[in-house]
Amino acid sequence: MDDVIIALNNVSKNFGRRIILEHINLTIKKGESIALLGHNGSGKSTLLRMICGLTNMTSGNIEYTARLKFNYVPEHFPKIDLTAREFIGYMGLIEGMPEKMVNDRSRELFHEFFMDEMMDVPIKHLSKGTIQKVAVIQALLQTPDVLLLDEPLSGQDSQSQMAFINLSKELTNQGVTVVMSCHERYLVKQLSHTAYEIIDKNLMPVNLTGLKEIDYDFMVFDANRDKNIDSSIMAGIEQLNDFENRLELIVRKNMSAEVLKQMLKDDFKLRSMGAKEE
Amino acid sequence: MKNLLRYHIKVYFKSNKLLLPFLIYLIYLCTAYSIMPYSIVSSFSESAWVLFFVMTYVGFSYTEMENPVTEQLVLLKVNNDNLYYMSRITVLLIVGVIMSVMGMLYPVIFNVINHSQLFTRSLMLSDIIFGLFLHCTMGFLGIMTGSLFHPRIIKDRKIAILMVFLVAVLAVAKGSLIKELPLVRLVSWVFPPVYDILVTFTNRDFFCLQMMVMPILGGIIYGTVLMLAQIHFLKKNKF
Repeated sequence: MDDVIIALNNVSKNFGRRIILEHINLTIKKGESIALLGHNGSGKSTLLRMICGLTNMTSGNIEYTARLKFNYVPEHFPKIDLTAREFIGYMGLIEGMPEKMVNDRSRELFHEFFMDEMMDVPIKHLSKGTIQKVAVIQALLQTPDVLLLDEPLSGQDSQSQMAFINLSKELTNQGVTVVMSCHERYLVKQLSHTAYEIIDKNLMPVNLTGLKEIDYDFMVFDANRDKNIDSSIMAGIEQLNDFENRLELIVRKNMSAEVLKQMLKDDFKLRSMGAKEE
Repeated sequence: MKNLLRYHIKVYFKSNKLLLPFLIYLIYLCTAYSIMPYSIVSSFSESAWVLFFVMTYVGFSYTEMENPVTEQLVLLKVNNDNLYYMSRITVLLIVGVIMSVMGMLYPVIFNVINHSQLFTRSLMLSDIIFGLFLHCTMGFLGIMTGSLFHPRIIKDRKIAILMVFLVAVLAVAKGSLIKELPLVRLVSWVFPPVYDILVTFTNRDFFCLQMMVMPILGGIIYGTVLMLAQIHFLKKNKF
């Protein structure tokens, strides 16, 4: 218990008459990596924001053992007029970093996230996945005590997901506590020590060894704007990334043959496929 | 604070939201001072209450422009809610002072161009100083009135627009309303003291310190209360 830095005691949240979270108890230890699972609207983002004090709780309390520095990656970063370099630069300066350090660190991160060519493009003109990278970069500028991530990997290509996973592992090794909401179940075991699922407004522990039993395949098709993916195979698709020229699918291994057959039948052109690397 | 201000100013200027109120006030100044000669005290008073309306719009539109997501990120970076909210208000105050200076510079320059024929008497340094104070106070009141109707304080934006319009109009028109309905006096103090300030200059030819101190002080106190209320409500109604 010595390492506990945050303790949520009987925390509940209502929006008007609607109960979002009820009697949540959670202890977060230093250097721990926690994943929060749950369907859309289950209260994952609200819980993340309550942990860092951006959202007030309706009842209960949150204890912090020290004054903690939080960084936060929101799920939907807005399309703003500033360029990525301007925004990241200001965030670093506001955080109190010296200008040279901000420039060096942001250049390093832009490179790691394959954004060297897009630094001076206004954020409003960037693609969804690239905008999400800006959201991640601003949170990684300086090492926080706690990093809160709201669906950090959604809409990102596999290379960027891997870059993020490596960075996240590096941070937890440095003693940074990571709490994230995550849709990509296949990534949870790589990113987290502990996982919880929000079911019926309550937090339930998830058995990570259970998640390990699922293997995934990775398929890339040419994007075809005139065609929709057949609904019969959607259950087998864990994640779908729709990029400008290609569709990336993460598919449950036991459904791979079925998904591939249907996609080819529907005239989608296969570009590459393989087992999803961990 | 310096970097926070630079960030807010950059975001604000890139949004072009300031262009419209700036042009409206400039057009007003051009139109109002096209008639000569004009009484100094009444022309400055009129320009000051127009500035109140313009700055109410500026304050309101500024809060509308803010993105709640970037706001949350910056709040966590700053780690000091009061500092963050004060920085936003400071940006608006800077705009208010710039607009006030514009409201004073225009007639001063126009008067020089017209060989001191713009006003019914010659313009003195004290007129400029008192006029600037009056404009700054009205600008401050406008900013605080407009920004109080923040999306996190009044969630229904239609109601917020109606309320800000009503409050701004009643701030100026409450005197006439009290004459018609004396009972209004009981609640008129709720509205910004624009009328209470302007009425002290009615039928005056000169500004003087004694007559200005109390109404201006009242305006500053009222604006400060609105500012504190705004920060309190924003800290209470989080995201």
